[in-house]
Amino acid sequence: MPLALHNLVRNALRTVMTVLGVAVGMALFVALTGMSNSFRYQLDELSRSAMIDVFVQSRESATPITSRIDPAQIAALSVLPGVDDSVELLFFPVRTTWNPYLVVIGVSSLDAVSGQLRMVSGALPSSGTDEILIGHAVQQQGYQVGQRLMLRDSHHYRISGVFASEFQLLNGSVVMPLPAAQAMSRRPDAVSMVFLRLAEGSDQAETARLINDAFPSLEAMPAGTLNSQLLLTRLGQVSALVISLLALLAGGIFVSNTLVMSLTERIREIGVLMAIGWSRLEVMRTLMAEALLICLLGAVAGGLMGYGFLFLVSQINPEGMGWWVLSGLQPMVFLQALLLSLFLAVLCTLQPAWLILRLDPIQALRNE
Amino acid sequence: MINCDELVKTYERGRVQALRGVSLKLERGEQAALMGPSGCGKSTLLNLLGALDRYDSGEIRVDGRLLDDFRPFHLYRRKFVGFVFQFHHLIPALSLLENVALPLLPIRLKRKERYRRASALLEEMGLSARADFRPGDVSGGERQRAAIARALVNEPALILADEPTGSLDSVTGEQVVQFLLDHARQREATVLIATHNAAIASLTQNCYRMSDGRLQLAAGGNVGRSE
Repeated sequence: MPLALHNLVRNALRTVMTVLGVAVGMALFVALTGMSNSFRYQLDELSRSAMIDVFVQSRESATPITSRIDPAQIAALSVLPGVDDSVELLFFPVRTTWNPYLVVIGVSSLDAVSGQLRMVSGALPSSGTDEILIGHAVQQQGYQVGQRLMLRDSHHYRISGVFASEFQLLNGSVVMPLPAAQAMSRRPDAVSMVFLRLAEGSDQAETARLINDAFPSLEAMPAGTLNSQLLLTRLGQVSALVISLLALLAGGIFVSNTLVMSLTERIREIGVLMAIGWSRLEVMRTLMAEALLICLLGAVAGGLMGYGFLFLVSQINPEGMGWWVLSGLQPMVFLQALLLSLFLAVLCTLQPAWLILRLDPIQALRNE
Repeated sequence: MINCDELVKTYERGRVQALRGVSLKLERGEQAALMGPSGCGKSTLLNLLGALDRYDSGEIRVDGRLLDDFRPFHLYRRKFVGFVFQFHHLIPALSLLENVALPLLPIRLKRKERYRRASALLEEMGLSARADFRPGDVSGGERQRAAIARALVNEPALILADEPTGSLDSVTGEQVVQFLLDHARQREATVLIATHNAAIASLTQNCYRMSDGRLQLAAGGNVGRSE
């Protein structure tokens, strides 16, 4: 390890550049995985706290916003065996001066989701009125209970209350009774999603399978598997993974190149080490220690950069995105980044190790 | 201690014959010089004795055992051999102390013990005050003395020095070799020095002359002996 440290300090600028190369890859990994995890975590929280057993949306819809469920299908769903209660929801975005994608959520029964929405001030909207609830992130735009908020068609809605939710996306949204939301969207019977609560003893997976068999145009997901089945989260996860891995691969090539350069410059030293009794494995171990140090430093620096990015996104709130990004430290993501850096270090030493294996000590000693 | 018999070594698929049947016997504690012009095979013989290279035919025995029995050869070098090179070959990024302690690093000695042994040797070499200096910050003679300390630190039975004074002026060169021989004598280590320099060869007990890959009787100088 001391020799590895000395070798890294020998060409400090090159080492710093290499660490930065790894750090950028790690930062991308932490930021993208962190964002993807934020969304997944909040979906899990939503289904857990709202005591939802089965989600239903139209098949192949990437997001609830693009999902459509017919009234006839809703009626049929609510009378399925084992279904205790159902809540219909409509999601759509509206453009506002501060957020081009403010999500409006219409809910058939506000009482059913009140457990998820902790009232900060005011009260639930009265049915048959143009009252709405706003999330506390919307409140931060300067709106208070009793004021009116202009949404689509210059219609002003009265704010009856402000809520806070564990589900960060909800905090940046507007919630209203389903009929009012359907009127605002100009689609009287539109429903994006149905939440089903099952009777005691009913099986989530069995009910979801029943729905999927009976309604080919619908997709039912047991609450526990929502994240793995929702196209958006899968897409987000895969994209985050692919982009991060590509960035890490680039970082790995950087490290490998640095090690090979460093090795080439030190061929004679390696010959000396072999002459004084070091095995090839021990020489490789030194090289591995160098790669580990570079990758671990890169992982720590990249982790900090990634969390810094998440924090910035959550604070500056670019077009409402920050509302669903959790900037809090995610230890698992950091741990994954560290493990990846270890894997990267091993990968990076393969080529230099191959060079060492083929190195003839005599030739190495003669190297100028 | 070490006995080689009819060693043959060729390069470039036999086109270059470096050693043409060299036999040599060195007793424990013997100090010998190997003289000859460049390209006569001195370094090749040293490399074979240090198991840095493989011979084509013949055999080498160390304390009666075939060299092949000492595999893996890095362990043989670690336990039995100390190398001194023409250009010290100290690692520039490390201090003299760290350089001297380097052969002990794979032995899993505690850091404190490694540095205690290295410090003791540096003190014997008169380099205590230079222990924390990098090789680039000390004189050529001091560098070569540090290289000798590195060769001695694992207490080898055989010290192989390849033109150890090649980079030094004649006075410093003789001092350095005398230093090496004195310390080797205290440890009863066998020493074989390859050199062009007759004055250096005269410091040893025995002198062998090599020419065109063959070991011949030494002409004059100290006592010469050849198989």
